[in-house]
Amino acid sequence: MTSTKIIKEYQNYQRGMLRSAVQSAFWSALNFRKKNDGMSQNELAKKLDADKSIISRWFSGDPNWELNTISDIADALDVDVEFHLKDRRSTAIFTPSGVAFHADIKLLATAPSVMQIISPANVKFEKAAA
Amino acid sequence: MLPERYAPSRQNHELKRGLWVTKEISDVLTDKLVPAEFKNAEPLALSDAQIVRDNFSFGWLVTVSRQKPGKSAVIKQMHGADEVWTFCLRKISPGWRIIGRFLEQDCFVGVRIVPRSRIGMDGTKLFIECATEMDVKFAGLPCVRSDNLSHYLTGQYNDLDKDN
Repeated sequence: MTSTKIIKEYQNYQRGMLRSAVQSAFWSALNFRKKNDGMSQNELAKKLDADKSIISRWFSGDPNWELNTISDIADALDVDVEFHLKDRRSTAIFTPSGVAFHADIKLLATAPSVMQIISPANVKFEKAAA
Repeated sequence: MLPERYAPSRQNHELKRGLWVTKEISDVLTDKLVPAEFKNAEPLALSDAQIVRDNFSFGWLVTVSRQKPGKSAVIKQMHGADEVWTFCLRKISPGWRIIGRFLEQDCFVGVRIVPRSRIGMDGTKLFIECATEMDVKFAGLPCVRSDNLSHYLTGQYNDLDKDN
């Protein structure tokens, strides 16, 4: 595999995992609403002024939602989306209001895998021993 | 030979489910082995196939179907043999199926990997072979057998057979 192809593959993996994480989190919220408040996909579709088949496709495929769509779904499910970024190089957490540090996690080196070799930072987080 | 547990690319997430496969399947998934009949297939180490396997392992949303006509689910129950399921890797051409069963909740064990077309050609025969192989390999280990999907999987899953 050429280096360009490897970078594309890495990028595709990271993008896909982000899409999956967002989709799975919203599915979790929708299920919670369904169990606790009886909210169906039909009702979600009505709130979003969308066809039920679209909602169905969102949770059975690989949707690439725009931020506006994410905001609309969050509103319809009555949840807030909180945003933070975890630094791969340190314990820093970036939030909309600035940088925070997690005192209870330490940085560990990991054995490189194919993905990690080309990753910007070959690190993972683990809870520090007391 | 005992199956190996698939290790996701990302190591900073808790593993909620286990995808266990034979050494041969593991070698195919990591491109160490390309079976002769699949020479023109796309490699299964490609990210599109990894994403599906990692989503499953982390307990994230996966689609499931048990009905015969079926839908395009990631996890599908097959018919014509006892407790045979497929783990589908659809995006990688020609479309791959890992055939196996749930030996316990959240523990899928795959014993065969085939291109999608093989299932269309001689699916039932293949499923019976796999069921027999698993009965022998894991003799004494009862597999999951239930009408309730939650006995097979925890975490996030979308039952495509149900009207949500």
